Amino acid sequence: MIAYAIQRILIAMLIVLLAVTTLFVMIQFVPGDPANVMLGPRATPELKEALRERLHLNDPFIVQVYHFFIGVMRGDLGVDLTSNRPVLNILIEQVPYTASLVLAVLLIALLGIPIGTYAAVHRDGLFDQVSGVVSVSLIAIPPIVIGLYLILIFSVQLQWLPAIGAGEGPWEIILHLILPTLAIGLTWIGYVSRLVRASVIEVLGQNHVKTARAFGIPNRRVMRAYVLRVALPATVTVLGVSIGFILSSAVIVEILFARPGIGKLMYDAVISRNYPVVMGTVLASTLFIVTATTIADLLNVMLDPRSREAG
Amino acid sequence: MLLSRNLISLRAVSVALALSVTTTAGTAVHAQELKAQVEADFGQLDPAFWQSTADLNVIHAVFPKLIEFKNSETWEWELSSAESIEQVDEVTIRFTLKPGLMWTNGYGEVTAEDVEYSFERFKDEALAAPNAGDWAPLKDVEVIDKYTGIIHLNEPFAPVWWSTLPYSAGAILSKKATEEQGGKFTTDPKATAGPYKIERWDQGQRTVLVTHDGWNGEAPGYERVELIPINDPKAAEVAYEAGQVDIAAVAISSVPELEASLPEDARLEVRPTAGYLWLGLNAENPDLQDPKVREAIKLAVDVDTIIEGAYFGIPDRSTGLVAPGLVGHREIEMPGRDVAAAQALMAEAGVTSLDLELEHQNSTDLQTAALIIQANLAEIGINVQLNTHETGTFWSLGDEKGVNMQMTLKEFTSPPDPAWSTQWFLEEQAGIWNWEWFKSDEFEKLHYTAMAEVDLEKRAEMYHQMQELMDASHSYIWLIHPPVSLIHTKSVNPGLYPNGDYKLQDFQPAN
Repeated sequence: MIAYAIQRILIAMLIVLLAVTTLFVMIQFVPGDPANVMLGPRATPELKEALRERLHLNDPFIVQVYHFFIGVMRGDLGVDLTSNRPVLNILIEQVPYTASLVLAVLLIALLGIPIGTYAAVHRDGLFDQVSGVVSVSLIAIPPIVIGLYLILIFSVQLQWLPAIGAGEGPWEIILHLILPTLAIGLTWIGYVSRLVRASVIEVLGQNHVKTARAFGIPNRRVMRAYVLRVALPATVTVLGVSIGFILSSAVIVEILFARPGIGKLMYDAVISRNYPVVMGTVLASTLFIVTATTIADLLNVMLDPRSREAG
Repeated sequence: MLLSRNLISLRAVSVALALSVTTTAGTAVHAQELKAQVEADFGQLDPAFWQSTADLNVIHAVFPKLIEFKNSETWEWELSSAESIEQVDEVTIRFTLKPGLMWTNGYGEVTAEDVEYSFERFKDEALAAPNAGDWAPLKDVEVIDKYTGIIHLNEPFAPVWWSTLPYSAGAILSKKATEEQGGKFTTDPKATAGPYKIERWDQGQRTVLVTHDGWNGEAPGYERVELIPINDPKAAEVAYEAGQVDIAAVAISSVPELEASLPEDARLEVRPTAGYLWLGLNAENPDLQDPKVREAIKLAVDVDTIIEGAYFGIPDRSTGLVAPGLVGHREIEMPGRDVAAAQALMAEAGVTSLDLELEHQNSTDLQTAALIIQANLAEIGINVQLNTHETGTFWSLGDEKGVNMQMTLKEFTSPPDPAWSTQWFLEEQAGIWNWEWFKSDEFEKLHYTAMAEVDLEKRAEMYHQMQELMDASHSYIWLIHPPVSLIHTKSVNPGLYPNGDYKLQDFQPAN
């Protein structure tokens, strides 16, 4: 298990290296001069050139990658081209907003497990049919649309929940988290419930479950020890991988809800060609995704050791 | 791909929903607190480095100035931290500060020495300030006593009363505090002395301003102001409807609907900005070098339809790059569309068909305008390919395309002095910001002469002439001065500069 964990961590580091290098290559092809961002339209060509030199923008991309990783190792991600603030400080401020949103989405996505399980056990029943229709509908509707309707209903019409911002103080923070979480999370409840339903139905038909039932083991125990234990690892893996999708939804949802966070920061930085912030946010989100998938992989192995050999 | 698709959805769906839902009015009434939507977070509070309206909102509120533009629909200044100010002669301005204006954080009283430092630092080569041009003709500031000083200019400089003293470059910094910060700062000045001071800044979420005890001018109407950055105008509109902000800028596309069914306790304010939008034709491009072709395009484009189709008939047609209310604005009748004359000019030029490219940004209004232009030009045998760009890409086209640029839909913002606008069309700017590659010796001469002309009538005449030169080049088809539209609760009397920018200290609770 330890050897497997080390192997996964090494792969994770390689992925981060590749992701950041790939982004550097992509940035070479994106039009737009960061010197204009930092200095504005009135800056002289000499001022702009001096800045490009200072930021290593005239260097070959491999040299820029080198400078970036050397900086990362020293805890220096560069400075925001607009405000001149260290990117690391900005990320430290913004990460909790996105992390809390992703965590909240994952938590409510777990509601899909009992829904999917119940639907599988009562296959073709009314609950199964209704939950099937609702789940597929939720999967089909983009988070942006769900978010807009949630705002219009709960913020504009009913004025129960805030539409924008992230709030201050625990209660306010929770209130501000509800609508963005639902905007992304409803889709994932639907997705997880369909996934769990399919897995449970498959496992219910397997011989070891039939044997357990033949031995008269109580149904609740069969479900817990013989069905869910086999059916859930796949769901854990999916939830781990889903972090990436949740993060991409967070970009949109953070813009819609004018909510601070990595997604909004990344979007604004890309639009304004604020490359140090782009690189910082990409590094942060890549680390976030890679860490989550690695943890999911390790959990999967713990829950189902067979997957280690399969992997 | 996912991102852009979703953003398109955001705009399309939000338009549909905003129009389909009967909303309750904003109710965020805070007797002592104002919540105002802003387009973005501030990023640069140093007046020598500011770049955006978001920066200006805060600079105007936290730094004192000798004079200040009024909360008004016309550009007029009034004394602010100066007890008196007078133009002694064309190159000399004498001022006396009001005593008792204090810096925050124990940096003492605002003095003439601070004024000297604040203005002269623009010329410091080591500072390398992009906005150094605001004080280009400054010779020095002579300190007479604690409160009195004399500004000496190397040459007469008309913008000093328009885009320098009452604007960002007129902001006074604490010499001691700024020097302690190494001579410049970005978002964290150690001392301020305006009507408000920064209480906190949560990047991406809010900026909180509170009244400054050391301010000796008229007390602001609100004790606390929260600036909430919401970039998307539809999201800003929803935030207003949800009662989370007292004032918000809304999309121009929402104005007709809002005017028709404005919530009872809301007001709508639409003002033209000092910015300008135009269709530019690159005279250096081989396909557009013939002035007859450019003139034909000018005659074929239906500006009124663009205003109606893309801007809902709200703004007036522009008569040039100088906006109404500014020195040099032209009150003239612009020629109407004349397809027959345009076709005749194309025939004279010997052009029967032509393929051209039009570069524009991806906002809904500009895309609509581009489509109308495409249809208009098809009538005179010009096939227009529309190239849509996101903001960052669009503004890098000058470097990328150079003389290969053909037609562009461009919008510039401008402080309240025409010299700010004309500077982009000098020959030295060709290919940088002057994408029409407009070159005129007379224009250059007038630009510099007008900057030194302090007689307003003579100066206005010079800007008229400069705009006529631009018209004669047939490289410019002026469209509009883009308006700003604000919705606010009746419980708030907004403090606004003539271009719709916030003057936060002049916001007042309505009784």
